Amino acid sequence: MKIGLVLRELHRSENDLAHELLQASEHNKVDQEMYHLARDLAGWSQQHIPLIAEAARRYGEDLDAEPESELKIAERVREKTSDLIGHHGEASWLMLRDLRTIYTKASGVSTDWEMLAQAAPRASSTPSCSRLPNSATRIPCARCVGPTASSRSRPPRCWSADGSTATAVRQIPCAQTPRNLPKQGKLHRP
Amino acid sequence: MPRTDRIAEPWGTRTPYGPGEQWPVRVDTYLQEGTTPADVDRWVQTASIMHSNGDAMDIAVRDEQIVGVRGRTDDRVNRGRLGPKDLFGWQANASSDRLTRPLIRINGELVETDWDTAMERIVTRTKELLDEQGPSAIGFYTTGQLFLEEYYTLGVIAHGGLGTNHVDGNTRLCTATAAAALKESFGCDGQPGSYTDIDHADVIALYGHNMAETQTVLWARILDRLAGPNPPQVICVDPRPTPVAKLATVHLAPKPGTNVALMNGILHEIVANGWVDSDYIERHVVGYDELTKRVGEYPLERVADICDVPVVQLREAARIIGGAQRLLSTVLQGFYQSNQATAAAVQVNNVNIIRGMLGKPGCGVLQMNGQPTAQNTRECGADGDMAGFRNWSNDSHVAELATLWNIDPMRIPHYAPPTHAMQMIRFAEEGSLQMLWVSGTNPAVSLPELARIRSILSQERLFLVVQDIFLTETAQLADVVLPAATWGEKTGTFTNVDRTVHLSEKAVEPPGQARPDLEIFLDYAHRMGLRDKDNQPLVKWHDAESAFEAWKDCSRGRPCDYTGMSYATLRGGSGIQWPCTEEQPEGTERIYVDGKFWSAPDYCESYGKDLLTGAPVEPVEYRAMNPSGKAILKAAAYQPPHEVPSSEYPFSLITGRTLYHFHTRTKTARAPQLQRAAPEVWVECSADDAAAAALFEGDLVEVSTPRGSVQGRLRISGIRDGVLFLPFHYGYWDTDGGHQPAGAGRAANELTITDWDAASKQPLFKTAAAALRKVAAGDGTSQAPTNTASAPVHAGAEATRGGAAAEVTEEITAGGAS
Repeated sequence: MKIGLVLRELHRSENDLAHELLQASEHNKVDQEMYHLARDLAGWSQQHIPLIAEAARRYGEDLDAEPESELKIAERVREKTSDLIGHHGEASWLMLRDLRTIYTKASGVSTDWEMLAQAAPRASSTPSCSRLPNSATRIPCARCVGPTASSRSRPPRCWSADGSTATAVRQIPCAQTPRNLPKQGKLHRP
Repeated sequence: MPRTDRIAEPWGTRTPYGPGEQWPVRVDTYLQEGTTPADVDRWVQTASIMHSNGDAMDIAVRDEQIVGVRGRTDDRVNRGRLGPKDLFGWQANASSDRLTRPLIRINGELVETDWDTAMERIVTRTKELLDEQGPSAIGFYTTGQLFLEEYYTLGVIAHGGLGTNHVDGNTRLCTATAAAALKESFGCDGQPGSYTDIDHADVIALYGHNMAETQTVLWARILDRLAGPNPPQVICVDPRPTPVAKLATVHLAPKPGTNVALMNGILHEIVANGWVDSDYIERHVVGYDELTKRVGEYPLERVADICDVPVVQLREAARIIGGAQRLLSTVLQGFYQSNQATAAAVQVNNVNIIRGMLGKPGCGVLQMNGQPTAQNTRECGADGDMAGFRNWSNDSHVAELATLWNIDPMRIPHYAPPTHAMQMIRFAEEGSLQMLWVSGTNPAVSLPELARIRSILSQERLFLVVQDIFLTETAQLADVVLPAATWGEKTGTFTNVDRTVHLSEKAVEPPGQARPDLEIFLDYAHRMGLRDKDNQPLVKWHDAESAFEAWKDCSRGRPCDYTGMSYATLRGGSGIQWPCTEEQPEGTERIYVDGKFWSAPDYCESYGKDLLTGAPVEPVEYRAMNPSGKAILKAAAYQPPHEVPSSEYPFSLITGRTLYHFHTRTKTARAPQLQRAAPEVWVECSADDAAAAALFEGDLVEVSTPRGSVQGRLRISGIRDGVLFLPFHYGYWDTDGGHQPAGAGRAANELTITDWDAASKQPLFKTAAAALRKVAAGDGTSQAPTNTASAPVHAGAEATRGGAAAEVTEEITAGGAS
């Protein structure tokens, strides 16, 4: 397997996911669980970036160790908009759209980590790869670092920050409770 | 007979005892002025409703009025003792401003009406909403102070009748983390400890638990051990110099929000020094390798840096905990309402688990409750849990309940996790939740970020029903107000922290047209025409005792098994601890004996959650991790709080309670002795912080956060530098503002942040950044209590006393054993 290529794709998809999470967080500032959780998860994706970049260097890939950052001004504008629409039922539809996008992107990241994990038998002995985060930091490369990450008491879990993002997304109430949303036609109830 | 001023001496007279001995009896009696025991017509059995300890007592009735209270000698919980709130709080029942008639809003004003009109308005609106939108338009927000029978009925109506999963209690604010932490570690709610563990323990560690003020009688038990031979060592983790801290062998005062780092440090020392029970871990525990790996990242030097606690203190605390032969650990709001609440509380469980200190005398964990009947909210499914500690994610458990209620399983909403209180408020904010029925709680003062809460509760589109005994701040915003009967005016049962069930009997009639909460719920079910599969009434009981019998069926075979109890066995004598079956009618003092847990995949209440994100663990994943029902060690990394002090808001703000008040003072402010002991809001800061800002005791100061501001008199106390404390009891019902500030804010929740623990969904009242400024100089005095955690550092404050009006008879029976 072309590990370098996988790492490059992972680097891109983690950045992309972090960006999406930050955007969703700002869109939905009035929904506190969404706001805080999305920011926490974005932070973890961003923490992966320098580790991926370091590992990738060994495979001839020159990746930026800095996570892509958000534009602060745009952030403030979006948060203000979120405050203003906080009392409207449409806000939950917009959040569902954001959650759908996050879910899709998180699944992509998860797949990338899976691919990397499949290359693990060859990669695990290399110091660069073993520095990638392990399951305890909620990151898919757990398998990559081999037996140290899996104890007898742990299940074969779906590795992922990404997996955890996807699962976490399910935890965000609106993602699970479509019945909370007003029926069409009731959206403009005063 | 000796009389003690129980405002000045909240814990009363010492009755020392030694390890393994029975706690001596001391019977506390308070009768209103001019009444002697000979004047009492009858004594009526009940237990305390003003805190979570479950102190058994009798109500004195004279001429059909409550005239006093007396502790119950035979009860295992208090052995005759009562706390100040029990002794004086009952006077609120007879207040002249009790709600005595239903109220409905007409043209913007609340006006008196009759029960038919009020109930029909609620039923009509319910049916409209069910028709327009479905059950998700309707939410119930209840309390931790109703009775078991009432919660169970409410749960059946909401989950089985209407089919909404928007049901929660204000227990979300106080004990949600206790339940969550127990579910994470043991797969199920249920206290691993027993109060009698205090009689045996050689080390008692209190984590964020100011027991001296929250459970005064339990603290009296510890004080009596400390005064006796071979006293236990006490470890206290608290940023304030609480009465617990003052008597502790080691007092750790971490920076607010750093509890997980602190616990990881202690666990690190325990593991590194081999103070673990390897055999117990091998046989009864999963997750040890991951835990050791995680806590390995927290050497004490790193922890000292994060928590700002000296390494030497951390090491000493870990040495004492690690060396304990009989370790009792207790946890409360300092952990539950702080950053990473569940993760921190779970690490306390981990200490007892890896030391093999569970299910034996003196070895236990008490994940405490804040309210008298919080345990029942959890058991009966009135807080989002499923009745009988059943598992929402286990279809066979849902089917079991459906069979019991004789309804289709699909009627029970289990497609999503139950909606927690803060999320219900959010749904009300965005308009999808259109009817909220609040019973026995006061969210307009007790929820975080009050300006937001008021804006939500006062929306015209929200149909707000409030069932209470006074016109609280929340009731003032209601569309319908239902006058309820309270403790002493209705019959029911409730269960304390250590699983002790008490019967609370009706002593007197409720005022005016006020009705027991159970009657109100039954009336609603009847008017709604809720039916089962065979077109029979869904709710098949008609009074408290028949509701209790129905609940027993629901609890059968579950951990909280009540089937061996009845009103008859609960009457007289001591309360009884569940599980209590026909085979074991005397109840169960200790659970988790010999490493047997309720965590088997088919039986457990919960598969657990990810501690950092709250993401639910999948059934398959749980089954693989814990196939044979062991205790579960869950590790967690420290994550800094979302809001940390900055140059603009340089202080950490924590809110909390004082010994003399309960919640939003609806009762305690109406008991003169309690109100006088803590009459007005105050602000605490340290002597160094006061000096740096040129502030003096008694100055009028303003505390502000990005959400709002509060003004109060300054008390300079021994609190940690950089930390401010505000008591959360003071709202607006007894001010010109009515339900909101008329001028400066007074309620601590004007300031708190809308943020909650990912796993337990408990709001973080002890994590906010705040600023402090002087408004006006004072006269050098503050009226904050002087004999509690808010004690002044400078001499000169007038000592908190109750005088003759607070004198209580204490009858001590000689001898340690009986």
